[in-house]
Amino acid sequence: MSELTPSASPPHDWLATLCDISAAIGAVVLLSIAVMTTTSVVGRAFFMHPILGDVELVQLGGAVVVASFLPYTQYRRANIIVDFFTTGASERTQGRMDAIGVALYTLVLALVLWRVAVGAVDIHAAKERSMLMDLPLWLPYTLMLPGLALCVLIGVLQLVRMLSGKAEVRA
Amino acid sequence: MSTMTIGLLMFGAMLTLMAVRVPIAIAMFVPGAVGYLLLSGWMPLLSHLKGAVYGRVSVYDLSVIPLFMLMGGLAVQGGLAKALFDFANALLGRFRGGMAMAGVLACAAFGSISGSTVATTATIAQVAYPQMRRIGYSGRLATAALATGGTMGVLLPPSVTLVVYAILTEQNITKMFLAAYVPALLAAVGYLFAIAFIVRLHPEHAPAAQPASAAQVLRAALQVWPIMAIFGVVFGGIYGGLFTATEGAAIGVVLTFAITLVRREINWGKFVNAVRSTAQTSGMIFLIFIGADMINAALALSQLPSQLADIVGHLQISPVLIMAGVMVFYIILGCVMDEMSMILLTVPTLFPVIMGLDFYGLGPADKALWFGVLILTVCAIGMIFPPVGLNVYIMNGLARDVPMVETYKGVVPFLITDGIRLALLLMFPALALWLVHSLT
Repeated sequence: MSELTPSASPPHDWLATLCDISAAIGAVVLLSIAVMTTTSVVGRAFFMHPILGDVELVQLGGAVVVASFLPYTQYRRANIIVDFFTTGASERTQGRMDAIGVALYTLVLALVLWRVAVGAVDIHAAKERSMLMDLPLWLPYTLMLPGLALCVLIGVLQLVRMLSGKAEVRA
Repeated sequence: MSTMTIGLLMFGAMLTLMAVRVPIAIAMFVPGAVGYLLLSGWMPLLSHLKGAVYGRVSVYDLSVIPLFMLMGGLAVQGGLAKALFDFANALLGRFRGGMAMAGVLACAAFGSISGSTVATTATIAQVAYPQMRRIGYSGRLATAALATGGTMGVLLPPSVTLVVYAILTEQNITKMFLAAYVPALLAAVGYLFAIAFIVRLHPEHAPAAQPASAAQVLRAALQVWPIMAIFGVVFGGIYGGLFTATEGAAIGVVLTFAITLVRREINWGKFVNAVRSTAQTSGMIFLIFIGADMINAALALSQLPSQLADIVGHLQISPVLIMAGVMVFYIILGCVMDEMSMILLTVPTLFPVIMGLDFYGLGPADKALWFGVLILTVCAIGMIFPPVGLNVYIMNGLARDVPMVETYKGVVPFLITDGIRLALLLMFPALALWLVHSLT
């Protein structure tokens, strides 16, 4: 299914590169969270001096990590499906069903993108800030947008290629 | 339409979408969003979505998922699996079937630092399977033992499934981890017995014992220190109350990275692989989260869960029997769905039902931990249960020379021990709760 270590690197078209860049941004943020949290724990244990607001940074960073990781999953078509009931169906039928799946995926992610963007604008207007570090909360909202937008773009391109009968965008 | 009808229709629509290959996360989101729309209108739906997604992905405890995935990914790429298997094999090689037992134990040990069951199975199997076949193990026993051994990853902390359950039910993650250890230990013991039993009845499945010398055991032991160190620091710290699960996971990432770097077992290519597998799995899990949140929010509006809890609460059936029924339901559901989606979809509905029943006079927290261990046990069983056991598929992908039917035949003795353990856990919640009570 989908948790396996990717066996080979995907073909190097520009979409793959974009997904890799997005995943790399997520990884940098994730590693920063790891190093920051470790520093905070060491500081707390040995110097009685944790990083103030480390929990907040993990929360804000976590949102960015997830949004940056989502495109890679869809690019590899690794979002889990149930194929138990359709193993007997022809490849053509399965392909049509998969096109419906990709279309719905694209719609859902577009809806999410739109609402998170509106959320960012509203929070910016309301000047909401985080409790301890006083960070502006529209920032993590805004940083989620590129990843979500990339998901929509991948969905659209996959759908176009599926409907035009060309090879799918997949690894 | 009554709200209950809308709730049921959402459920039906979800199952239909799933059956026609729509990704599970999306199959949950779409009926959820439509149901929410019907139950409360456009504006509430739009304003719900504005904050819900960020609210979900910015949960502090949830960041343990990508962190533990990355830690496991680095351990997978860093060649720590081979050291574990060699050590276990040096210890157990003196018995007939010893290498199969070593495979099971290596799965348990690797599962203790990896959040992903699938990665655990695949990693240990890649090391152990070729070696088992080379010295004369039957394909049936080799694939069955490794597929089964890998299922312990579901139960053993830092299992992602375990974390997800704890977060959904607002349980303390540390206590949830502790509750899983004794049942996981029982699982390992059961599997070792199953292997001993199989090779006694059918010696042709395994070659004669190959004892290792004391020097070989020592040499192998020296290779496993990194895993011991990571495990000791991360979980010692978590259970000792020094830091939270998230902090432990962060330290685990830094430590695993540092150790594999010092041992020169990781390079740029392997690091990229670890990152890609983390991104892929985390993306998959969180999309399911987002979808499950949508349908659960709509189901809550439809009052279906509370109605269900009410109906079940008034049944004149023994609660333990109801619990057994729930377990059977999970095993059947597990035949078509993956464990993560199953938990995210059903726990918000079933948890209040279970909490409303009385089991052996357990308090709410104990009941929640016990239910969690039971669910995870059936999830683990689901990974090798015919017709679609995820771990059997993975083994089949790695061992092309063994037909899947052979593996399914091979897992039967292991499934029997699973059944016995599940029955014991149902009858004696103390098996899960004892360690929690004695350490916290």
